[in-house]
Amino acid sequence: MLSLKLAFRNIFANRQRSLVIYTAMTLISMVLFLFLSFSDGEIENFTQGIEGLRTPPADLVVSHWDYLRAREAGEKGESLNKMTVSDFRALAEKIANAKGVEAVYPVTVPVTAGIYVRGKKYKDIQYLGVEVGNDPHVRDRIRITEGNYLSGKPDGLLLHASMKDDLGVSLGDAVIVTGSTLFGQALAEQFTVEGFYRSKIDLPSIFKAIYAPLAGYRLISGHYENEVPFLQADLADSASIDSALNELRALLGTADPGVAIHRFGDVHQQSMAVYGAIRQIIMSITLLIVFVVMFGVMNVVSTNLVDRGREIGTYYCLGASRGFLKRMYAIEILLVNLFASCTGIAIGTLTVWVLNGIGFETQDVGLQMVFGGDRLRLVVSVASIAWLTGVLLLVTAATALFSLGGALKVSPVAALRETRD
Amino acid sequence: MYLHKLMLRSLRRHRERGRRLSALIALCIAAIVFLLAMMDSFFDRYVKLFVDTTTAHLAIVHPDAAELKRKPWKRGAEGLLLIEADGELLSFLRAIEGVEAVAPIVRTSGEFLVLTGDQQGSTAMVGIDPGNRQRVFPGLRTSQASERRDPNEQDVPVLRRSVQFWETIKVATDSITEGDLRVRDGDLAHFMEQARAAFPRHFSRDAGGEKPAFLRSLAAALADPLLYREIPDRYRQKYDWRLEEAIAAARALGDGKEPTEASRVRYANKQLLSALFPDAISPVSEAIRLGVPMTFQTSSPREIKALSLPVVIPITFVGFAEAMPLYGFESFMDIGPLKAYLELGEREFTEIAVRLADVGSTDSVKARIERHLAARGLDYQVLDYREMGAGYLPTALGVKIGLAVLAGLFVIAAIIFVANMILLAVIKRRREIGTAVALGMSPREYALLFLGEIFVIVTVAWVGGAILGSIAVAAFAAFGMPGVVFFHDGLLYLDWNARHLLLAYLFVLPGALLAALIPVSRVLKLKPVDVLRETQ
Repeated sequence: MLSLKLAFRNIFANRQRSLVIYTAMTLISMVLFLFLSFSDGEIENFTQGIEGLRTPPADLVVSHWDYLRAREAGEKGESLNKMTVSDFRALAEKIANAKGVEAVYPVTVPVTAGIYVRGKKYKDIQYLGVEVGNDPHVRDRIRITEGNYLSGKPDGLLLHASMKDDLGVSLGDAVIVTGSTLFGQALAEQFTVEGFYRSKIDLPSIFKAIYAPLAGYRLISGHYENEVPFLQADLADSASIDSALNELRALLGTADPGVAIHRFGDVHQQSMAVYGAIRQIIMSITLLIVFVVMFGVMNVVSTNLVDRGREIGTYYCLGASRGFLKRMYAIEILLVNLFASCTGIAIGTLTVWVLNGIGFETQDVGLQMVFGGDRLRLVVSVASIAWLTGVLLLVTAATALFSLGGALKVSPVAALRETRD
Repeated sequence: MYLHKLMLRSLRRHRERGRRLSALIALCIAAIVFLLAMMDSFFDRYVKLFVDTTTAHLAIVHPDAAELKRKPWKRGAEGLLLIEADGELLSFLRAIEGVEAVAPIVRTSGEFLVLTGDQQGSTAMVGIDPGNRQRVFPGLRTSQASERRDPNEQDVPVLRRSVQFWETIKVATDSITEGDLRVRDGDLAHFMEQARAAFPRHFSRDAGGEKPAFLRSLAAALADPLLYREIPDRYRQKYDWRLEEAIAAARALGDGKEPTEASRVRYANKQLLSALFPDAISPVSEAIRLGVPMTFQTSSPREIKALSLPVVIPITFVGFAEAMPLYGFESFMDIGPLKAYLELGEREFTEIAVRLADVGSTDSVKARIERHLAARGLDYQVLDYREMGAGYLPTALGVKIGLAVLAGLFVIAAIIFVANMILLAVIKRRREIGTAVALGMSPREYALLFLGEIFVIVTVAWVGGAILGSIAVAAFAAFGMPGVVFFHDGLLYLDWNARHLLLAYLFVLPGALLAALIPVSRVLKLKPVDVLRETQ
């Protein structure tokens, strides 16, 4: 306790010196925090934006009982597409009545097919289905730029706004979806364009996605009535995933042995190869910076302590042990570094709020790729703060370990000298 | 002159402090050199990789295709946008000074299909003369058995785009585990009964009805090279091509006079059993392999209807081509057969790729080609690698800016540490300063002395930091920096450049001198009577 008290007093007694380390560490932790926030924002943009539309995150997923095994066994294409949840509406109703379940909705897999518009055919368009009226996972993530959201008519389509220019298609146009279904049957169905949308966090990889109501989607995918690839369930915030999972397993075991329920992460792994790589590069660079900064801080601390030889000598004269002094100076460094990193993170958080508040948006596709979406988003995450605080504590520990030993080798006589130099 | 002497003496007197400061600045300079090298290497190599594997320096394309090349995320309608390249145009291009290689190309897209009809990935197919491919795209990494084509062979050799992680087969193909079984409960019991009836020698009733015992029997059956001979006739009464193919494959191995690897026999038998009991055993996924007959399916180049027949080309993979990691989806085949299957005219191509000896001549060569095309009345467009790079350049630019910010951070850190050291020095040397001023030295002269010391310390530190940074850069230049997935093998090789050393010096020295001015300015305000006081 005494060492803490003295360490605290010493910080202010040597405030000019403390200020230098404090300023340097504040600046460094702020910049590193902003870098990590940028990386977190990229990933957040991506997961909530594009991945969120393709694979909306949920708590639980209901699939065909054999789906996971078949996928693990390397089955794909038609044999995997056959593994669906049949009679999903009745099942959804049962799940919705379970304790803690907030929403249950069907989720489809994209069907890659072509579209024939005004005498031209475009391929590799991805068709997704939504159950109109039970589709917050889609509606909340898009905004309608022209026309309306899906009316529910089986032949309605909702196209990405970029298709308006790229395909030369307009509202009300009749288009033909062409290609083959998920089961290899030839496909040529006429639809009508009901509206255009943009993802709230837009990215070029969503430009190819077209939404259809479930009835229309079935014409494209080849599924039967009342059959969908997955059902997803969102739980109330207060509900425990484990207990809900066990309860629903018991329920589905009797209601429909043809399905199985899993945690979301067991079924879907969101693909973040590029952004994950950028994150790793940023983390590595953070370590490199901390390594160099560590030397800097060690240098400054040991220089400061050399200049505080008389003070150290006086402590010895007053009977302080070497261990006590080590503890005291280590706490002093720790407090300065901790205050600095807190200040850095606080300023960083403020900057994040300001930048997010300004809402920097871009239509430049290249920048969209860099941002993970069409707006710059910075995210404050506990993981980043923990990482940053952890590495700064590492700096403190290394500084205490390598700088204090030598600097405290001061004779009590030093205290009696007029000056050192 | 006497200031020099005083400065050297002062440096000697305070050498311990100077050494510490010097070491610290050296470390910062080393980090700056390293980050600058990483920044430029990433950008330059990324652009070079794109040029060397995907675009070349220039491309001559149809006017409607230009927009799609500039903005690769835009969708183009099916059908090829063709240009006509006659001998005269190609000769002109090849004769331009600075042009290293010219290659007419047909670029289309489609899917690979295995003979079972399953898709095995989509690709952009680049039809190019094999002799010209590496000259135009020297950065392509290929692993190939042989591209020589047997005139009697129907299948066109293809260099397949590199296999992505999601395309690899993660399950064992030479064993059957519980994870391969599609049945449970009553269906499992039924399957066990079927297997016992079909192969009584391998699935003895005495082995017990337990699943583990049954799986052991399955494993034993897989190892039998003559398993196919035991298939009861009733299974072959109705023609099933999958089963017949599997039997043929197993027979080829089982009757072979030469010894066969045990794993190949187990693989063939697994295929056999899954063809025999398709409802009970998951099919063995077709691994992406070289030398296997398959097809490439693309849309017709001209006739576009709502439903039109695709062009199907029989192919076989003869090797793998790795273009841009993460973004490279180009496969390559000989332009001759591709054009023949697409029924294109002799002079019809989708683009002409032009590779230059020196990237610096891009603009001048581009202008020359544009003039030539205009003189001939052709409306084709000439695109350079920057115009074709909108999809990837921002990534490189983003990384560059990020690293530049970090380099700046090190400069600021160095400046803060210098300011700290000078501040301390001013405090500790007050009496010395006072004495010097009392003896007739002006505060301005003493400030100059301080700045001179900083100049010497930073310069010495720069030498040390430059050496240290250069060693780090050299190490990564030799072995590559791991984990940078944007490059082949995830390795970024750094390039050493003297400019980075100079830049580090030019960033740190003025910064350090400016930082020193703050504490030194106090010296200018000092009066001898104040500084000669006992202590502060």
